[in-house]
Amino acid sequence: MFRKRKKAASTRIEVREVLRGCEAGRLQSVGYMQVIPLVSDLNDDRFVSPVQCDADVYTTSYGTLGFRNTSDSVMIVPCHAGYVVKQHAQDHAMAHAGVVAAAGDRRYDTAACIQASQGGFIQKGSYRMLILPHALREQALRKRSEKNYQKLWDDISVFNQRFGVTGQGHLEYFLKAFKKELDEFVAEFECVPRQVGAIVLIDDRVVGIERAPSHAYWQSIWPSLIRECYGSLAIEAAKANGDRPPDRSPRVQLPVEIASLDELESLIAEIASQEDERARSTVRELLGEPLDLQYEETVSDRRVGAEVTIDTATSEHFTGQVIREGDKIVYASLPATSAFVKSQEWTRAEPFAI
Amino acid sequence: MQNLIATQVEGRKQTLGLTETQRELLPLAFGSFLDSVATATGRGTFYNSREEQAAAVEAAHRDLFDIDRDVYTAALMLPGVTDYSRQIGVWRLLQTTRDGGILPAEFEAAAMTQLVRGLPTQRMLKLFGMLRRDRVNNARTRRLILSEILGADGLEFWAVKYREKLRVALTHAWGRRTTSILRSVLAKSPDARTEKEAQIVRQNVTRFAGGVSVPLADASKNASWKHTPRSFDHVEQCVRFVLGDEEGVTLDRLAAYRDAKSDFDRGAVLPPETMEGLRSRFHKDRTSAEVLALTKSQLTTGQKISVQRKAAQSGVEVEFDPTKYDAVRLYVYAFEMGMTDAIRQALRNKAEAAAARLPVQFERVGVLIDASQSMLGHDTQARRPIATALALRDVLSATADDAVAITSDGRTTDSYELVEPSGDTSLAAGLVRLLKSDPDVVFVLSDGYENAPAGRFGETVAAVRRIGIQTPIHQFTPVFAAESQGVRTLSDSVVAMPVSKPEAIGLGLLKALIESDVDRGVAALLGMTKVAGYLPAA
Repeated sequence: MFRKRKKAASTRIEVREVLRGCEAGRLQSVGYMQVIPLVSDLNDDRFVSPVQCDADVYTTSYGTLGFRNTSDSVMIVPCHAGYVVKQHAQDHAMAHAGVVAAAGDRRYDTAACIQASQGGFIQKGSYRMLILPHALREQALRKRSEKNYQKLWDDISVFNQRFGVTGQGHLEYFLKAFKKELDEFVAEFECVPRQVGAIVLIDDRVVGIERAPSHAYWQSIWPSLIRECYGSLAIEAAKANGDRPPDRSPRVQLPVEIASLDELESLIAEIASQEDERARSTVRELLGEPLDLQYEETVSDRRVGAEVTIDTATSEHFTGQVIREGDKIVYASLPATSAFVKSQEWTRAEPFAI
Repeated sequence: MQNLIATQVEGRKQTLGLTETQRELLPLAFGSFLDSVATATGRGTFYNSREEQAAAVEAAHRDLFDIDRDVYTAALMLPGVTDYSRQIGVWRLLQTTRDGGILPAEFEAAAMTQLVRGLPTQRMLKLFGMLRRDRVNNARTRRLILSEILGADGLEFWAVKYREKLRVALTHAWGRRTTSILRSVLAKSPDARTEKEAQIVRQNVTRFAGGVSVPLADASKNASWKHTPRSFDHVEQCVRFVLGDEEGVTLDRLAAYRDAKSDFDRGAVLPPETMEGLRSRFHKDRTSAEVLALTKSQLTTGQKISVQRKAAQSGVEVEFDPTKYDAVRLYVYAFEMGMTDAIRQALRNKAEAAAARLPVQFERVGVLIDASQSMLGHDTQARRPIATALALRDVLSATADDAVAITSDGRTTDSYELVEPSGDTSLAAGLVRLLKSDPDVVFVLSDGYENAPAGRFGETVAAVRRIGIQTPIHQFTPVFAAESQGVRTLSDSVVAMPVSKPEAIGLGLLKALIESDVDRGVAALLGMTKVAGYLPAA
């Protein structure tokens, strides 16, 4: 295996490249959150997640997060993967994505502590993975090169404050305070067959595009994405709406006057088809968005026959990272920028009409 | 259906001394309790961790117990209550001193014995472990532990299989000092013991060993049963073995355990896991497959189904009789190993027998099965929710002359066939499709989580009612949703009933009865649990 860092080089692609080979599945909608599954027959099983391969995770110093890949596949550590452990050890998260060769061990000294006043190192072992809350990801990515374990403490403090959670620099306080709500998100959104990604919306606003190398990879990281990353945003939406419980009724509702079961059946089908079309048009609107890719590194594993590059992607609306093999997108995580989340227009569909 | 239960107990309802407060609190607490005890297994689900489950179960038990411990005890005896729920129920009863109740005290003692005897051995030993952990060591507890262990027919088998757990339980019941004394005394032959020592043995061992008494050859004519010296020796040997003394044991399994450490083949009469433990310590050159081949005659019914994959991989043929397993277990097995005609036939027989016991028959039934990914269940109970749904489908279909079963993704499914869960949850279209076939009733078998989109099912039920169609729609939920302290409903106008196995369908009916009439419901509860003999005279 070898890794190389080049001088900063920049490439431009469009979002359609990130979604190449995918189709939009049926929209899932519960409360404030909607998910458009991205389904595909493309499956690259040369790549696994830390969850899939039961990777050993550890810290060796504050700000250094290590991964031991015991599998014979290349491990892609999802962008902003983090670990909150029950040991007397400082919880840590990645500030970017990572790639660890098959049977390899790699330490990232750019990681961030997410538990301010706690000492100790995480012992080598397999732990539940989280992905940083959406609101922290943009900050983390901006500071991805900083070797300063305290770099997210202030951001976490502000984040906690927004939710009325005390605990400066302690992400675990937020996770504990909203455990029930976060668990519900995992329960409510299901992976569909062939799913390799998703476009996530909160209150009809696109808040992220995620893509994985395979269905198995996707299944393994989806609970972390929906729970901490996007779930936190849905809780924020509920807070913005005065902490009202989310409306559990469908966004496009059936009309009151329905004369027969035949009519009811066709209305359900028609609304479903409208929703499908709406999902597709949401995807279509994004396709032309240009993404500037800033080269980070290349990782090669000859035994597996993989050479991938990690790029940081920025656009008008998204900021995240993509991992490519040649021109082919292997992995992408593109959370919407906080500015875009705040600025998006209300795009609720027109009321259903016959 | 409520009337069917109520008429059987009509005469007794006046005899129950429920207070107004109890009448007020019971329906909610009982409903929540039934939601919990019918499905809780002490494991995590797709949605909730083990700890969350435990907290929700604890709350449901506490609420009903605080209202009336006899109603609580009777409820634990209902058919369909999980072993886990019974385990923590008995633990709760033993922890607290009895003070009042609507039934006499002997009811509780008899009920507890019945509940404990109905538990699988491991579950019973877990219960004793909980009692030790929580330092519950009152006279009732000690008596229960000692009589259930020392009086058990299978004590010798247990002694080799659960040696350490038995030692812990017996030490808890006797106390460390008495245990130590017993160990020394039992090492002596009965003739060599002093009178005081013999009394210690009688008081702590022999008087609890009634269950293993054997008839004397000459006593069989007058049908009297007496303990023979041999039967006491049997128990004493087992106790000695459990307490770590293997010297001079002559019982077949106990001696085999001792000898198998040096002679592998002597382990043929030992439980496979016990022999596997000995193999890993004393016969490292032997393989697990050899252990399986050596001990296959000792496999329990439950083990025979669970080792099939390993047996197939090891080339060992382990006899498997599908008629001996419940339908849910057979479905879980069929998902793993494949469906066969023999399993299909066993499922058919079980469904028809279960349907015949239900107090309802239909001409035409519609069954809508949630076949979404969440029905796979948590890793620790993989495929149990969908297996339960399929077993329910079979029973409900067997209650009718004609049945239509479809899945949430639109597949029509035949009884006794597998349905692989995947994808999202959209039940509304399936409901309408079923209603168009004009059934007497529609049963929806779902965990209650809908996402494509959430709320469409409830909206559709409301629309159906507005159209004027009043076909009953019932939801059975084969998974315990701890976060809502009960099962999750798909619609406000559809009652969701929890169910972990087909025979628990009756629990839903009882829940509905208690909600509508507390006295009749409680009377029905006592009637269903066959504790009517304890009711005071009217």
